[in-house]
Amino acid sequence: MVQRDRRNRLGLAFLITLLVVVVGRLVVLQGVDGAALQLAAENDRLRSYPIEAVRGQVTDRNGNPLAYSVNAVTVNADPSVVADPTRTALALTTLLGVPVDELTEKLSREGRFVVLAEKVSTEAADEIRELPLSTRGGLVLVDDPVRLYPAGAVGGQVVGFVGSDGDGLAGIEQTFDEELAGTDGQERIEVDGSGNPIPSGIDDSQPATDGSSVQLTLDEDLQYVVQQTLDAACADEATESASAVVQDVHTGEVVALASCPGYDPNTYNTTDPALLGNPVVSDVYEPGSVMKAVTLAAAIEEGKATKDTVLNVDGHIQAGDVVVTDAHDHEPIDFTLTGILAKSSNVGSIMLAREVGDSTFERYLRAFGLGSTTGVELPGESAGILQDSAEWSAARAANVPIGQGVSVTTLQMASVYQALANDGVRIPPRIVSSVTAPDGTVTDTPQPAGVRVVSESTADQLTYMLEAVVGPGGTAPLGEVDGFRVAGKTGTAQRANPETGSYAGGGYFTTFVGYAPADDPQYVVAVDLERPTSDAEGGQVAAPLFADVMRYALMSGGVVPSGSPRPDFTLTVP
Amino acid sequence: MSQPARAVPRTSTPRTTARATPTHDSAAPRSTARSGAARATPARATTARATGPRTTTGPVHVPRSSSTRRTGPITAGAQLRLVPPAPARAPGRSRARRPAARTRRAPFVVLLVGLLVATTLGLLLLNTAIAVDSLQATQQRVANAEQAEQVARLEQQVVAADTAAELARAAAAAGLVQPGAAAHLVLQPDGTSVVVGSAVPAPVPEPPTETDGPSSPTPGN
Repeated sequence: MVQRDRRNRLGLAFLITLLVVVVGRLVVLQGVDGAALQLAAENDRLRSYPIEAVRGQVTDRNGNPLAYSVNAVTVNADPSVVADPTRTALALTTLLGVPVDELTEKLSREGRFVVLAEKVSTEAADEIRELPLSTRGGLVLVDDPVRLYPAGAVGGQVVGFVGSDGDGLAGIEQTFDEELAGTDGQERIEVDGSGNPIPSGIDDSQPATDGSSVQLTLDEDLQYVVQQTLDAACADEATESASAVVQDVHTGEVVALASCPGYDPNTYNTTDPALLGNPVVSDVYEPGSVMKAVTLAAAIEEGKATKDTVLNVDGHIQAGDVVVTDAHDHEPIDFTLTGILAKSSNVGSIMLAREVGDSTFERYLRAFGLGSTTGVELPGESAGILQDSAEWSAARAANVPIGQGVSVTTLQMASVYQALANDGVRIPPRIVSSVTAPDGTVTDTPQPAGVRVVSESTADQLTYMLEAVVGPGGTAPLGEVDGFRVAGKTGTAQRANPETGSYAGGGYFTTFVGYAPADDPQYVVAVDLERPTSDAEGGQVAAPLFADVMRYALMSGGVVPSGSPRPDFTLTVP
Repeated sequence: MSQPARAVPRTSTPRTTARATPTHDSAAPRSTARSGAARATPARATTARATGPRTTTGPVHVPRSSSTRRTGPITAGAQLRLVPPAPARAPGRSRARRPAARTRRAPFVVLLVGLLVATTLGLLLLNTAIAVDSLQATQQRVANAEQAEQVARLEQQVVAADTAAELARAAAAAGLVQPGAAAHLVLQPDGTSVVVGSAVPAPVPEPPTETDGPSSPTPGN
């Protein structure tokens, strides 16, 4: 019996020890290491795959895509796994569009990673996947969406481009990068031993939020015509560059904006980096005589003159230590204000600016938007160069009213004439019409508040006078558009010679800015050409381009031709 | 709710088995212990065997247990000699009772086995159904992705062919030319119309060359 008791006790002790060990182990597993072990188990079963957000589209005002993303594939290879480089290269060469030699060389390299081709279509990728295993062994296909710009160079400078890491690097792609990009998601699912998803297993996937689409105010067709017109102009060797802007008079919307030489965003990485800007908003030039409209508007608004006021204008005028002459020196002539503008008299304009006074004139220049950015949704916009009037020398004070010694962008100049066309109210230009979220919510870009620059009466007188420019005796009969009354102004500004730092030998900037129909303005068109080696005037070079663009804009816009004939103008008084 | 309800059989089960098992290691109590998984059965089984009060269950079973022990492969000789008359009674009694218990227990066991089989089959069926659904879902997802890819490709073609530049090229290839300046007929308030502007005919395109092949327009139309 004693022996049995001891045996029982020993047994009990053994059982208790066993129990303590088991329970202790349980506590360690469940309590101490529990969380870590559970995580390890889950990680073993859970697989994460990134879901890339689709970048939003950029469309023109009619919804035609100017930029969109499609699925594509990057083909990589692990050369150490490729069985027969030559055979694989032969199979891939047509699918990837890469020469056999190059592929063979890459596939024969030392190392374990080599990029064979990027932006391969999904069609080609499917064909690669169907190759026999012995041929495709070692190839790795990685999804890599590609950005397409179907219109190419048309609107290319406006739309911009996306870098290889998916960030917008220019144009709208840059300004609206955040909206376009969207948010990447993640697929996180439970899988079995062979990697297949377990039905009704854990699935805490985060869907990707695709990017918003950006609709521009550009009209692709008009943009194409503008681009074609400018390209034709740039084909002339004398023209180094040319820019044009078409603006809607009543809304300030930019309907077309282009310059040459432009670039195709599809091939931005093989384009000269110097061309990858948008000169229409970032390059400044001295506008020349197109500025006289501002000078005369200031004079009329200040009550110093009306369109019929007669001034005795000499052929030249002393301004500090320089003498400014008209295009051709002449004996004193009795010009009406209309005549001063139509004949583009420098002397007459300077006389009027002096009547207005420098500081008041500067106030008008700034009210017309010069010297500050327009706020258009494009990166790298320049404010132009407008010196404080207190710092103007006598020569500068005589130069600014005729558009020298002051620098503007093409867009700023269009905006000045938009104010005159819109009864004196300037609406800052905008190029984005709306942003559409992936759920279909449309956020319209609010139209900026208009700024009254001059009275309606002043604007009307300016329109009358600007019509005389394209009329008989004016400087730009080539700016006429058949069936429509056109108001506009030529400009021929001396171009500073970058080599000498002076105007000598710098050639000219030739400009034409105008709007039509003069009796009910709908579109403003600004054209300027940089011609370092030519002395042709704006009326000869820029006006015909203006007429081509304006003709198409009016016809495609369904604008009714002017019902009334152009008035007869009195330019000089005998 | 379930806790107290379960507590009653749980406490009763050890009581009955504790009384039954130490005294006899017979097959019958063992089977009740086994079916005791269904918790309520031991109580019924014991009352079925012994119609008297529960306290008498032990003594009643003594002879039966000794008889089974005697028929068992390893038996103690001393115990065998002590109870000679018991075997004659015990087999007879148990023979009379066992078939009855068996017949009474049979539907229950069948029910249990049936439940087990049905559950297993049901689970198998559900699992299969889920697996089939999942397989189909995967297949359809793949098919969907392929279709979407196809749509994207076709859309890409449409977009590429729909750009202004491509339309202009296609139009030129079809022999169309840019129009000249158009004239407009403007209706006046009195109902007459005035021609504004002057219509200029478009320049005549160059006749299609031989290389244009079958796509060249047929002359005379």
